[in-house]
Amino acid sequence: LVDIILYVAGGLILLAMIISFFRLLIGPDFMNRTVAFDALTIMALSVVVLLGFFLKRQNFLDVALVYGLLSFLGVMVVARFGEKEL
Amino acid sequence: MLAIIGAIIVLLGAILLFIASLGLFRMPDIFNRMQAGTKATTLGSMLVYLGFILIEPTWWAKLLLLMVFIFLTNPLSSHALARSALFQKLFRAKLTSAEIKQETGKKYEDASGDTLDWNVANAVGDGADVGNSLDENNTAGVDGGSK
Repeated sequence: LVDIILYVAGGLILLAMIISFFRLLIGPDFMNRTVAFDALTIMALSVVVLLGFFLKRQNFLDVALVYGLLSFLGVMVVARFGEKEL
Repeated sequence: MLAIIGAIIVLLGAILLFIASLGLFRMPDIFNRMQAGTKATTLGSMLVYLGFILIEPTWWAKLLLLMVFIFLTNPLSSHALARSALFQKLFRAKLTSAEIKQETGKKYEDASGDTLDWNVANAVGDGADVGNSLDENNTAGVDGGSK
């Protein structure tokens, strides 16, 4: 039963990533795409944790931590870049 | 039993992430998109990690570290993005009826104004849509402004 509920949750998160990817494609501006990218990486973090549960490997949590750190740094750099003249 | 409760909490977090992506796709404005796309994803991902703490209790340390990390860094990046978007003077949707009326009145005055071109085109479409749902008196003015 736990596996079925987790499969449904993973499908919902993948659907959410697809919808956010449309915003990343059609976003009319630079900052809209950055917001969509920020939300997309956080959803990808949950997918990595889910995958680590299905493959029974604890190493995936380290991958998720480093990926979250890198995405935070990337979004921060882009936001700092946007405050200057684009 | 603990695993089932944890799985239900993970499903709740997945539903919150789905609602966040829906708001990110549907909202008319960058600040509304940021509101939907960062607050709801923070709560949703924290619920997902809390559910995995209940499912696999031996993974609690790294999952707790991830929860604290998301809780600290996600509002920070959202704040930086909002400040950058405010600094660039991006398009802001007119949501209340007074703002719509003020927008249409101002648009008649400075037809050769200094607002950005795609901003005006966007504001007319979105304002007409919101005005229909909010107040019936404003739709005539908004439609007149669009033509």
